[in-house]
Amino acid sequence: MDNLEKNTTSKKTFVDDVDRSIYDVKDKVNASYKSSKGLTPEIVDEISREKNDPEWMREFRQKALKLYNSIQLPKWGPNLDELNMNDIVTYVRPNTAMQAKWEEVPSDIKNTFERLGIPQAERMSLAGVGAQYDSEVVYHNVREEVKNQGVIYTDMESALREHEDLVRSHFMKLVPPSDHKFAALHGAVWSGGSFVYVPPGVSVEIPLQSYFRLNAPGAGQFEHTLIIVDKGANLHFIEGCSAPKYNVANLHAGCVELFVEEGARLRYSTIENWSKNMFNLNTKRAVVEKDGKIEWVSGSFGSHISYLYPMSILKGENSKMEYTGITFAGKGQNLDTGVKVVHRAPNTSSVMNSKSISKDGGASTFRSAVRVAASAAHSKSAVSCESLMLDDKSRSDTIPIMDIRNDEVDIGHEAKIGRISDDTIFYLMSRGISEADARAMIVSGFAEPIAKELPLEYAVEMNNLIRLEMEGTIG
Amino acid sequence: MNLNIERVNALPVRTWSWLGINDRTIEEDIPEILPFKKNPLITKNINNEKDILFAINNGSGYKIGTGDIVKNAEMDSNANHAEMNSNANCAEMNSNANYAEANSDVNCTEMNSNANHAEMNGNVNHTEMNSNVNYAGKNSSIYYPDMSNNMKNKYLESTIEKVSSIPTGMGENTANYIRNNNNTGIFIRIPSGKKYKEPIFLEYDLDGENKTVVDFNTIYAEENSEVTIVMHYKSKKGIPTFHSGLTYLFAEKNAIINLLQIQLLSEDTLHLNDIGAVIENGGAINLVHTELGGSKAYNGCKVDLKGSNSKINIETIYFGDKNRTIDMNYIMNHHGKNSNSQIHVNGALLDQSSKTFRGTIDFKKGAAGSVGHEEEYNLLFSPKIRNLTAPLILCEEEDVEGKHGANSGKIDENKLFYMMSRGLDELSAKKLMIEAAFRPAMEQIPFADLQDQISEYVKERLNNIESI
Repeated sequence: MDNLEKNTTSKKTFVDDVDRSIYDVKDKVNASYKSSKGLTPEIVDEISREKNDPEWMREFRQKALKLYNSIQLPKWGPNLDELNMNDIVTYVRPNTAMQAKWEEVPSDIKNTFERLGIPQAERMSLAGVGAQYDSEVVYHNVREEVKNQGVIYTDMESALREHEDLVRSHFMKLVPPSDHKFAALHGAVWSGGSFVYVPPGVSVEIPLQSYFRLNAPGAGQFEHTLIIVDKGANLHFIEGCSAPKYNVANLHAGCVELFVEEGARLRYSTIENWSKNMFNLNTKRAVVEKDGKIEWVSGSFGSHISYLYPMSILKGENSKMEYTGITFAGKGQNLDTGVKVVHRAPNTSSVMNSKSISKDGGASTFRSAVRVAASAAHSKSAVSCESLMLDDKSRSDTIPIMDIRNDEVDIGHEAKIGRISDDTIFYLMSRGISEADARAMIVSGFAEPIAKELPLEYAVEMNNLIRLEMEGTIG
Repeated sequence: MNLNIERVNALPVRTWSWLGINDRTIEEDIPEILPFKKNPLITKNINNEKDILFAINNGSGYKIGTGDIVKNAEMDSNANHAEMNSNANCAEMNSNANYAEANSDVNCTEMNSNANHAEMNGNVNHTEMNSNVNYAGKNSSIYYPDMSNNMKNKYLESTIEKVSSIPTGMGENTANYIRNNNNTGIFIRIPSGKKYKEPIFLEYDLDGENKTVVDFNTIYAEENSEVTIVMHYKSKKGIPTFHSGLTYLFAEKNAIINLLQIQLLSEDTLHLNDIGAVIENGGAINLVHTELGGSKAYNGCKVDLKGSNSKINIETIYFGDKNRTIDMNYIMNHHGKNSNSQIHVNGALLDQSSKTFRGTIDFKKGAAGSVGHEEEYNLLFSPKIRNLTAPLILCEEEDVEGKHGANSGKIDENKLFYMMSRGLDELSAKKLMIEAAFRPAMEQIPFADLQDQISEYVKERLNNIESI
């Protein structure tokens, strides 16, 4: 037995990840802008003009810009010193050369597409480097199908023209630009993204997938997603995909606003695998009316640093939220993810399940906030978070906060942290499975609750992704 | 007098400021800090133990003695610092002494440090302390009765110097405030191997004559020693009073410290209680906190589980009613292998009371095989309460087991129904449930007298409640 143990532990060596360094993408710098540092009102006006914004949107952008310049960087969470805020100008200027070529996409990302079995056409679209033609076709097919049900599914720019009133009454009402520095930045320079409106009582059978929409170079940078699911309607929306998305710039400050009306249900799934030089500073928020339900499924695999905490406001009586999330932090990654919920009405309920995995020097943090207002009698909330440490070079933190202002509640919280037990590995190995496979199996099992919430093809891809991530952890 | 302390009970890792949990600022009007004229020591038979180094702080310094000397020490309110300083002036000693050399054979001249008394009481520089202190206590066989008083003084001071660099739960600002303003407190150093079975009882009773207690305590247990200390805080109703206490705990190899802090203050007392502790190989600290009273109660405890197989058990109860505020910050730093921390918190919130509990289990690199468990049960009885909970697990070690559980809500309807079916009215049944919530901590108090006093205090508080 001693010998066996020795064998298994001596085998445990660490092999570095595939080199994921990202090639430099040289932007052509327009000489006329060289002197101006930082984001100026002129640049924002230019963006607005380029996009044919209505006047109110131009004013909105300018207000957001003022906020952006006055709000400080967050004083908690992963260090953002590496983020060069002055570079942002180069990402957002409409006439800056943003194009990247498929050939310039790092080979490890290309390899991942290959191994995940994604067709060539889609690969290019997933990488966010062109390939409009192919993805447009797919997109048109989807659009026809849902259009027949009266559903509006279009890009944000078109929505702003064709459904101006609807956009104006919802746009950044849930996530005001004053929320934090990157929400303000988003408000000033947003572009691209999806708009979905589901009419009352309509149930959209097929999940809408937003990656079909990421067809313009750099469009995934500051995209705005606005979804309104009207009374009694039902929608599953999938954002991103499981393949790494390569972007020319390394900051992602998107914004997602979800309006779930009375009796409606919305499932919002994200499997995010940004390239590993990315600062993912995304803001997602939902407001749920009476009897409505929001379901978040969230997988975070990519990016260098993430700040990501989908928030739900349970505004109507009997409204519900469910969150299922997994975070996998590998080498060089600091993924700060979690969930926020505010119970504001009676009989509301929230259930949160989070899993996080840290390996190879990666750091993952689960951060949560549950607030139950005095007006939310008979509410229930349960938070459960489990963390898995795959080695002692990594880091895993759990920072859950509960703020309860009502006695008619049932609030539970459970957190666990641990490692893969040697016994389990030994058992699997005694059944003829290699140590590497055994570990991968255990991690996949750990992630199973998330996988089963995903559509089949995504679940398969996520498992593939875990296998890829686990490769090289053991010699 | 105005009390203003910032960054109190800070979370070791900050989070969203809108939750209002990162830290606190204490801004209160308090009575002027005057000497505490009572002798808090109420243990009768401490004079049987001659080899314990025991000293009592009369507000201007420590009176050293064993047993009856301390017991009968006049609480000299007129003693001033200058006098104490000359007594404890190290200048006359060898200022170049090297502590490392002092390890085997402790003698007065070698015990010397650069610190003088004024510095000790005043602006202690933490980093300096850390680097200068290399203490002689370990592995030495000390028989305190053989020591001259002067030497005991040196010994006492260097022990205090050593513990003063220990970080505390409420934070540096609070610890500094208490060290600079203390008007009472005890010093106990238990020699190695000594199992001091008799508990040492201290009582701090606040009244119109003694409106402030700022107690600065050091409890140092040498190798294989054991000691039990009870600190009991109470106050008269209707008089605005102020208590703030700082206790340093140091458990050397295999030493055991049992500390029971029984806080039964009236609703007119502002209460601050801070602890900084270090536990070496195989050492253990058992802590009971009954945070039942006070207008506002702030309680911090930071423990460095430095040695392998070191252990900390904390059993806490709290009781909030009316406008009471309870604010706690427990931080368990696991450094040693196979170290173990257990925290249990039980309490009830009524009326407009509010409670904040921060509990952190921090597994540092190298703490392989360690276990940290934390459980919190909150009974809520009013739609106007506020219950804030932050159970953190920080981890940079693979081979650990960390677990957190928190539960908040109304009392179980089935239990309530059962009790009512047994003839209890709803109010009595609820009161009984509150009392029941305090049982786990009560069971950790091995003194019937004290249990009765706590029960009585709780009963009296409950009697004044007309509806829940």
